[in-house]
Amino acid sequence: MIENFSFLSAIILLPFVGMLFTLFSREDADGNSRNAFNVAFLSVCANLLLVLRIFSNMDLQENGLQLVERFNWLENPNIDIILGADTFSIVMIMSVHFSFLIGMFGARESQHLKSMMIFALIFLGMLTGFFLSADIFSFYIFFEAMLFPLFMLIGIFGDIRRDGIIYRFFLYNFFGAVLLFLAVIMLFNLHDGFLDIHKYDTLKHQSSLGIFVLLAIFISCLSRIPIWPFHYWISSISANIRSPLVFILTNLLPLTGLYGFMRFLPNNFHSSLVYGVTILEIIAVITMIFIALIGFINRDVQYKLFSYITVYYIMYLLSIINEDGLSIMNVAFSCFAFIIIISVLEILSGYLHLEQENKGLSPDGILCSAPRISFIYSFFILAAMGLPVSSLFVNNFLIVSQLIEENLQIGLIVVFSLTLTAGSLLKDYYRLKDRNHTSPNKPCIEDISLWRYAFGLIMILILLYSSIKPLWFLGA
Amino acid sequence: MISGLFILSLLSGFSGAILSRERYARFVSFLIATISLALLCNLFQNMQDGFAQPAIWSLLDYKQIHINLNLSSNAHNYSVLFPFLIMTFLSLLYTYFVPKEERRGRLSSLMLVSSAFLMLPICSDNFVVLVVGSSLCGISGIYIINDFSGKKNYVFYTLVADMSLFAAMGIIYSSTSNTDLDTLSYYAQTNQHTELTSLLLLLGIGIKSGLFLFHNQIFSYANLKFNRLIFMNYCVAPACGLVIFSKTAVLLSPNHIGGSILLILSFCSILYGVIGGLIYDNLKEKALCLNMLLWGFFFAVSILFPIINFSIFSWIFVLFFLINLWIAMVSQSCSEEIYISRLGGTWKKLPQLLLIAPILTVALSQQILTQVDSCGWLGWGLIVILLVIIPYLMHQIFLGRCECDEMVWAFMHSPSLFLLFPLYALPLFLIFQYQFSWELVIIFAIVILLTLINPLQVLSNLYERDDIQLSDFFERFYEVVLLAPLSILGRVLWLTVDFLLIERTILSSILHFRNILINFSAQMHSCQLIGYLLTIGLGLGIILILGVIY
Repeated sequence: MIENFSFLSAIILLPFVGMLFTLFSREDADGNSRNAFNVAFLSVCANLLLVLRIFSNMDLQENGLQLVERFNWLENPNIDIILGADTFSIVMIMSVHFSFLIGMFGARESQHLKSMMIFALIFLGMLTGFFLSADIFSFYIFFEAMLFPLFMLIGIFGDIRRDGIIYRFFLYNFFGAVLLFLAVIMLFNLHDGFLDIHKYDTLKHQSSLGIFVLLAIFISCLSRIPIWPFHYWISSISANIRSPLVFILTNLLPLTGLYGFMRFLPNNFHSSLVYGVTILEIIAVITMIFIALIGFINRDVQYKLFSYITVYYIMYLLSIINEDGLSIMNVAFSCFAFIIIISVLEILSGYLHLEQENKGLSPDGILCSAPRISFIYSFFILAAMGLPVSSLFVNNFLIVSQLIEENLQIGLIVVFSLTLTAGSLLKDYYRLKDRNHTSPNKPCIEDISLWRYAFGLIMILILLYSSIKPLWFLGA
Repeated sequence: MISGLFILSLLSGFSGAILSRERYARFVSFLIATISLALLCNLFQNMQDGFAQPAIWSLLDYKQIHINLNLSSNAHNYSVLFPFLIMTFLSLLYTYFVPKEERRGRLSSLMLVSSAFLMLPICSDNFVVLVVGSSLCGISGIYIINDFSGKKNYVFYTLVADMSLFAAMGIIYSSTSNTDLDTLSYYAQTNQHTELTSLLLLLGIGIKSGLFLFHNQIFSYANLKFNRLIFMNYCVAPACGLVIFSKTAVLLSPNHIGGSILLILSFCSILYGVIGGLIYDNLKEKALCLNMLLWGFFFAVSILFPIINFSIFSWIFVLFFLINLWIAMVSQSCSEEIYISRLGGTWKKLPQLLLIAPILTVALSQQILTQVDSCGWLGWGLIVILLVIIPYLMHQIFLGRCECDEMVWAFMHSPSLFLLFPLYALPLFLIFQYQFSWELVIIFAIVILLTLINPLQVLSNLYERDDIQLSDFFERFYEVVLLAPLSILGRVLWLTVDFLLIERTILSSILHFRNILINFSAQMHSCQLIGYLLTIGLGLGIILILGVIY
């Protein structure tokens, strides 16, 4: 019976079921939404277990889609919804679930916790569905539908400038949505009811319409990646949202762009696309340096994190563009560590920000009196620097080697940008640790609780172990 | 065997660091020092027996890359590891005895962890483990430094060093698709960005070793206690720099630009070391200058006389380490006084320390003379430099007029015998173990004579000059040349691209265009003549466009 169980549909649906339970959960007498949090937490944990179960059903040596599930949606025109997974997509889903769990720990004390959990679970379900979509329609639907919960989250948890942020968010994503919609319709009509994304590479893109379709898909994917000029909406959200979970979810969105690129980028470019790819590479490296430099001078830790995230996403994009058949899994393993690192750094900086606000402190020297948070923070900063304490090190090494092999200048610019963003995070960390700004009379922040500390230590162990066993959860 | 030493050091080090409480700090420190001694004895025994055993584990197994962790026991690995384990043990011993040390147990544990990590680059046969090992060793250094500015400097420099090594290894791997260190000699001949690789290696090694131009981070150790300072200098970053150099020397020969620049920097380091050793008032800075001098000497010899055999330097490193320890004990005996200008005339109270310096100089000279075929004229140069610096230090510490504070004088005491023993025993053992020649007698006589005469007395006037003693020229240099332009560029880009171009131009235009469209449709839907005209005009326009297309 277990063989016939639709695991992929289940991991898409479970967050929605969790969302329904969260929706109907009762609040405490004093208005706390602890029940909602617990239900959401359990849903994500259950889903994570299901994801692990899926892994045990997969053959990791096989490259193609596995565990395919097909549902007929429309008879005329004949449209099927196809779900399928490969190792890359499941590693992405794992990463997203981990970061979601980490983000939940940061959001535990938030106001409007129930609404946050509801929309966050919808987003998680959509994102999971996106990574499992194997046909162009479900790809499009999940690609666009995940914006709705994010839109709501930004609207509810944004700061006083939320109108401007939502405007930018809508504008950029609307642009991408229209293009992707056109591309999907044209793809379906031009190629006689084409559906399966994984067979996209077999299509011929010689006609100008075919090239337009490809460009439309790429531009819509680019609108999700913080590459110039699309970086602006994500940077606005990152700099103006103080809720760690919303920050984390927003910064997971570029993964969808990368995934789109990975799925649709043909192995052999049409000659007219080669120039486009070169231009894209140039824009990418310029954006990388540009954002890294701005992150270096900016004093806002959220922006520094954003610049760090941007540099990594662009590095992954460059790696996917220059993919040689082997580097995709390096991107996945690096991404796994990267997402955990940024999520933990974000919840820690969110916690510090909250403490600062509550006690009216300046950030300088704030970590001196909190050894637990200081240790966790320092470890994750070291990991973020790319030192060999996580799978970032070896996988970044392979990605950078691959980029250098393709183009030395690009490879060196990537290394320079990585150094600059790591330096900017370090600069911020040492500002928080600067003992010269502390005095005995100054109030101190409260250190993180023991169970949060334990959670941080578990994350450290996962990172350390994943550096030598990237698929540790399988023993593979 | 080395793999066993590695595991034991790591386990006991981590256990000590995790379990160490302030109450048991001294006990943990003692325990760690004892473990270190046991490990050292084990290594020595194996070395004497010529015990050899391969120990290779698969560390990472990807489709495109296999990385093995090699901790094989063989004569070469023993000979390189041996001096570092001696220095680790002596540091641990000193840490146990040093008064008022913060979190002594944790420090000792970290020192042992660091020495375990140092085994990785020493035994590595591929460059990924080489970089990983040196990075891990560097990370342990972060936790050993307990001074804020020192730690900050160290981390930033380590980041740059590791990233440059990372990039260098990336370039090599992209050309060879192989991580074995053996392929470096093949790579050096391929001409595929080899000059760039050698420059990146130079940057990484230069920073880790604290050579001239990159010595700022090393000098920020001056705020640490002597035991931390000496350990950081001999068993952490510079040690990794030396090991990396010895494994990648084929890319740093004088034929490559990186090698040529490294040679120049080595001579500059020797020069800076000599001048700094003479003019700095701070004993810690003097010790750091001596170390800089040693690393400069090592690199210069290795490049000019390329017999890359680490073992010829082993005892030279250990003896320089002992000179550092001697300076540390002088300071500790004088109530932690660190300014040499506030010492003098201490021979009456510290006679045991007085004799150590000439013995160390003789032992060092003997080692250099033994290796003079490998070191060439540089060996003689180093002996001359030692004969200039050591007597100068001795005179100012022990002879001359006493400038000590009354309290310092009152509390002045000789260090414990436990600490003095290695300082006497090791150089004397070496002197009698190796060939004793008439040159050594002359060197001893010269040291005593120059100590008494002190021909460089005039230089002590420089101790009063704040512009020399407090100079932070290189820090300001990097701020002006490197950090300020980056900051200005970042700010300009932010203002022009993000603010002016995107926010004020593109987004603003779209917003205004949206308002125009809204006005336009509002006018169209108004029950006025203009509305009818606009609707008719729009319809005609659409018909016209469709007509043109079809």
